[in-house]
Amino acid sequence: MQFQQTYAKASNISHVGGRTLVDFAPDLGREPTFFQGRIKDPIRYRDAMIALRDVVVSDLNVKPKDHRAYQEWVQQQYVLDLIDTMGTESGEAARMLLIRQRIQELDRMRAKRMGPYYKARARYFNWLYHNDPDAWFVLDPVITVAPDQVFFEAFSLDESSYGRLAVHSELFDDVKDFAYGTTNIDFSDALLNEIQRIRSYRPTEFQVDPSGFEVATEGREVYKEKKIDVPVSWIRGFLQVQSAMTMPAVTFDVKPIDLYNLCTFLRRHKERHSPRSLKFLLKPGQPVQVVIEPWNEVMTFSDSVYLGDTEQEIRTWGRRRLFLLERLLPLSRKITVNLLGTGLPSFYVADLGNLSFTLGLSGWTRNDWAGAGNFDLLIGSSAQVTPEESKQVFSKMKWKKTATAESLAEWTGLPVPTVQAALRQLCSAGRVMFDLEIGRYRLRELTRDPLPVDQLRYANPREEKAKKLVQQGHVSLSRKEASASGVTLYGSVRTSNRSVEPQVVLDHDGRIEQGECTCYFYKQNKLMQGPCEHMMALVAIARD
Amino acid sequence: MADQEKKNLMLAQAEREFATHYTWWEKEEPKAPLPARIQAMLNRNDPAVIDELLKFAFLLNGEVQVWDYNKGGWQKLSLPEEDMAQLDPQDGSWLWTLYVSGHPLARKAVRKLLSYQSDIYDLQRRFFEFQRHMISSKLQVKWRGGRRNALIPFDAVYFRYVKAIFKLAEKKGDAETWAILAHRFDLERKGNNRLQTASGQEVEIYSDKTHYYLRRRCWRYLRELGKAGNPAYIRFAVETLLQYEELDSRYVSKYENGEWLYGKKYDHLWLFNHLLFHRSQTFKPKRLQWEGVFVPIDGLDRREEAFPDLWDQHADELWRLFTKASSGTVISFAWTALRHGNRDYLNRVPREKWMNLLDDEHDQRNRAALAWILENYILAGNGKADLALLEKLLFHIDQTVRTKAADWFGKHAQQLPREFNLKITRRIIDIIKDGSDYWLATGCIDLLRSHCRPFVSEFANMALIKELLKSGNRWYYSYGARESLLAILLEELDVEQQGVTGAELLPLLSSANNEVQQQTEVLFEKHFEKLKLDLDFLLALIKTPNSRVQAFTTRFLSDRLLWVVPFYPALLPRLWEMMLDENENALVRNYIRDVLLGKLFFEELRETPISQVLALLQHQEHAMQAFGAQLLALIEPKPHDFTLQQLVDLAHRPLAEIRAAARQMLEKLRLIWSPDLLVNVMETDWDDTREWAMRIVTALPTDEQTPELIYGLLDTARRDIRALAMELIDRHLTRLDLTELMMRASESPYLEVQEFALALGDQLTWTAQRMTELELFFRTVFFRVHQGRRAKNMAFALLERLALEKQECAEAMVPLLNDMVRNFGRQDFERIVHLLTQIQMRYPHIQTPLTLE
Repeated sequence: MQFQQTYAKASNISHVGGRTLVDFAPDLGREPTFFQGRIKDPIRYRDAMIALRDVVVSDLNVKPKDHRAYQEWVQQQYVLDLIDTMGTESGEAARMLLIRQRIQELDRMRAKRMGPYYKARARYFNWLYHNDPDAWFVLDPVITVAPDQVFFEAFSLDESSYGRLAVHSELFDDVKDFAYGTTNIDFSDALLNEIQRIRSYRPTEFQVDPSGFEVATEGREVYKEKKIDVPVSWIRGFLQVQSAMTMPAVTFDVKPIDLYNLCTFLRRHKERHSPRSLKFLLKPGQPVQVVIEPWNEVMTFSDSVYLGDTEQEIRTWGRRRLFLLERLLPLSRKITVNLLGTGLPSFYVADLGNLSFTLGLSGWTRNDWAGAGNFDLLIGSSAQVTPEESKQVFSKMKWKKTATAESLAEWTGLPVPTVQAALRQLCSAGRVMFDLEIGRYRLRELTRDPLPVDQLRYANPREEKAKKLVQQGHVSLSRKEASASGVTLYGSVRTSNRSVEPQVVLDHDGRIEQGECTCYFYKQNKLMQGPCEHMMALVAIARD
Repeated sequence: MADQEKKNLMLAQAEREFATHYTWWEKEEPKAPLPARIQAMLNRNDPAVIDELLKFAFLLNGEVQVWDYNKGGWQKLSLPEEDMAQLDPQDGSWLWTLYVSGHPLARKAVRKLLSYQSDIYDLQRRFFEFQRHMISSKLQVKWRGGRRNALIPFDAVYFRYVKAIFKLAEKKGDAETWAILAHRFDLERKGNNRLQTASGQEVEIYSDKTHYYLRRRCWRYLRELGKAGNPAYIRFAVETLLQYEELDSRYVSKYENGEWLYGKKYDHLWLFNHLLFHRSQTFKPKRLQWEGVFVPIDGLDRREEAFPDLWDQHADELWRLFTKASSGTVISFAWTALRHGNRDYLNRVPREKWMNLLDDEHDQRNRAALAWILENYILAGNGKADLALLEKLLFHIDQTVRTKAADWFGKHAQQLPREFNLKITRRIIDIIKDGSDYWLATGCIDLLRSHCRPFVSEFANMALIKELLKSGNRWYYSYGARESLLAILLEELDVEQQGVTGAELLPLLSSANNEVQQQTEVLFEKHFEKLKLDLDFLLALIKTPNSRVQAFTTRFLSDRLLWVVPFYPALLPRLWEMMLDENENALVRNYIRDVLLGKLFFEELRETPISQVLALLQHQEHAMQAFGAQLLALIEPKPHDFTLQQLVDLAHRPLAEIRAAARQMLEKLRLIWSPDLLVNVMETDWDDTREWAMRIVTALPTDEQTPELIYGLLDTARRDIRALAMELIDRHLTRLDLTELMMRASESPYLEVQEFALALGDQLTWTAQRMTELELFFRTVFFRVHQGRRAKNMAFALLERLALEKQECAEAMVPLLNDMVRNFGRQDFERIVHLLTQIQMRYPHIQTPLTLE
């Protein structure tokens, strides 16, 4: 999906004359959004911004090890073994050995001569790697200037973590100028060093620079125009995670020390096999307990009492993403945990006083087919809200900036369910977001133009088919067999002209490990293109 | 009677007849009867009997197998049972019976049966329904050049009767039948057909000796006729020569007198060579065959045949030979003979016949006809040209005709009226424009380039050029001709008279055809003053994303720099814009930057504002930054032209030369440096700038190494700069306010600085207020996950000391300890609990989460 961003200058953090200026350049291609004010607590702001940057660059996808050096060594050893095998009497072997030795000598000489060059080159590449914005960011972070706060949102490289830093209006004083709205900011990794130099003894001015908007559009010199091809999966992941904020969740508060203990344990231990989840044990009136698998280590958050009515267990995965909150632990008063359900997104809202940081985590770190069909982009059923109604709700949001579904229903005269469906749709289209902190919807236009929801709804067409099969009741689960490695599901799916028998093996984490089906798609592709819709449908009803 | 017995009887009879020289054939008595159905067809005069006989021979002599799709296998096709009942497959005398029957259809059938079947696969398809056939090699006969197909092979079954037919035909003057067999005798070599005689000897039926003998006999017979001046010679010779085909020759090439010659070889023939080259001085017969009979593809323009006078008396036969023969050599012979010996006859041949011969499929014939037409019909005797005919020939469907006509046209163009030449030129242009006939269009181009060239200027105009440009896809096969025409038109274009503008010619500069492009360039070079070149044209020229056009543009502008000068005020800003416009083609942008602005107009950029140069220096593309550096060197700005912040930015640019220039300018502004500035300059990944700044700091006099500078250095994000700051702190410790230093260090996110702050903290006097101010610092140290053990220990030690020393400190630290008491780390937990216990014991009124009993 193509996005274009135009900046009049580079974002910059400068420390001059005993003052610090945090100067973000807004996207000139969007409606004017700007802000100028002074930050009262620069240290908290600094650390929260670094945490946000950590979210953006986090990539917990497994990267295959580089075995080239090993392979080269193996090759050399092979030659030496060959020489040995041939025997030292053999003239060829002796010659090979001589040549081998000469090669090694030449390699050493070359390494010595070229060493400084290789080192300098490696350092330069390393510098490029860290300073090339394209390598780090898929899409520039988004900043929204709202009446009660200025907040930044970003989504990680591995499409699994969402970060939102809200700087409340109380943290600013001497506000000079502002215009509400949402824009992208030019954000490069080079700013990190400058952010780390922010100190409380240097007055820190913060601005989203308005000056670029003062020049007429044509003839304007631009610093940078970026055309970015953003993967659909990234957009989808972003919208999925932050749309999930609208869903009902199990909520409880934890102390910073609880997360500290959890992170410390995870840092000290490395799991070698599944299951790898955090299992939250929730009993009404009891302190929340967490079981860390596979060690089954139980941690009790004695200051966090579960106030819900029903006893339940919720498992979440990708727990190492919680390390992203480590930097915020010293600043936090509490962290509110919002769990949507097993395998579903979870949210951690850190209360930093006049700032808050929301970390949203998708169901799994790896957004691959093994977890396919686990979570849909939940939009209001189109049958419940018409485009006109959606437009009506949106225009009220544009006016009010923040609202609840009830107040919007009152203003628009629409029924509350309709408004809720419209709001969920607008969330999915990136027009609106739900603020977990205040329990209200906020106007936040992620992109210049509304995103095409239909294109983003499913990761692939088979997911859509799987959902339809489930909705139409064509899927039945015959039996479930537990085994050492997980659970095997057997079922049957009625298609238009016949019945197929999918069979799926889930590991202890509920991810698809193996699968078979009697359908044509499986026969052609096996699992190389992921599971067929019948397997996905079977997994969906098994999970339900 | 068994087959072998029958065979033996026949053989015995044949031997007896041979021994007694019994000429049985002279009796002309039929032998084995024809199959009844075939006889019936003959009796009915049914013309289908010929095909029926061919099919009969096919099945009898060849082995035809067909694929039966129903049964899934090869099935042999047999003759009808009624035929087989009457027939002995080993007895070929039915052929003799057919010949001597005297029936005209029978004679025709015999001739067809005896002839080579060059269309044997057509016969196969006609006769048999099934799609898949296999024909036995029995029907393939050998000759020197390969194999031919014959329905009546020279084998034990038939050869006796073939010879008999040959002799009877000779006796009766049946030239057609005689000629067929004479041709076969001349060509055909021995097969693998052997026969065991009654006496037990094995003999070859048609051996090479037989072959040599028979063909010599044929020539002997004809020679006697010819010597006697007998017109039968011509008849027999014509029929014989009509049998020969191109297949009978062997195509060869030889290198002679420095060139390759291509032609046909006839060494393997005897009768043929005698007929056509009997009087040749070059080709000679040896004992068994001729040597060196090489006839060029176009034939020989000399007469070497036997009995030329006799031939000259029979112009009709020569004409028949010329119009009906299959062999090019024979056609060539007949044509030469007619031209040299019977020109009057040729003059009497009607024009329509000549025109028809133009369409003949044999090259030899149509070329001869064309030559005659060109020679005799185009320019009539009264000096008037038959232009319609010439035009027809010039655009004939046959390429050879067109080529020859074009050659003739070229030689005589000046004798022809101008209007005709113009008409031809116009037609050529239309044909090329149309482009539907590739060969025609390609041929016409040659004509246009050569003979019609003087007339092209009449048609060279921009309307036509635009039409040619508009139509057609470059990959269309006729497009080459169109492009060639374009090039020619451009060469002839009168720019002034036509009022042509540069904008109109611009698209042609990017033509993929070299000729067109070069011609257009020549036009621009020669007539640039007349082409109304303005700023819009210049911009359009520069915007053309084509490297060849760019090379031309560079040359063009370089040679006319003075002419470009008035355009500068409008041109240069536009070029600058285009260079920075990311929507512009990259090739164009790079060209503008590297060639136009970077070299050609570089000197004009001396007045470029600093802000524009800075924008280039900050550009994300390195090439733009490099250009910016170039400009910077050109402009030679003063340090005061920049703000300090701008200079710091420049000192951090990736390009080394920019950094060097920035450092030089900063040097000049040393007096106004602030500590912040130094720190900002130093805070860079670029070694040269950083080390330069570090050297400056290290070399500063003591009083200039201010606390502000040191604090600033301590705040940087680089470890090496922080290390420098530590060194300076060590050096200037007594001059620094430790409290200030500690407070500042505590805000650093870096572990080693935090440890430094803790170390300093040990030396300070603490109050509750300080504790409160540094609460976040302590939290940062203690909540550092899985790291900073040393700092944590230092912090614990400090807190433990302070807790025991001052109650207010103890009170201030309790909330922090409360928050951390549920630490699952054993060591930390123990220390916290220990500390809280100590506080509880020393200051019982302070509330802690512990309950001491």
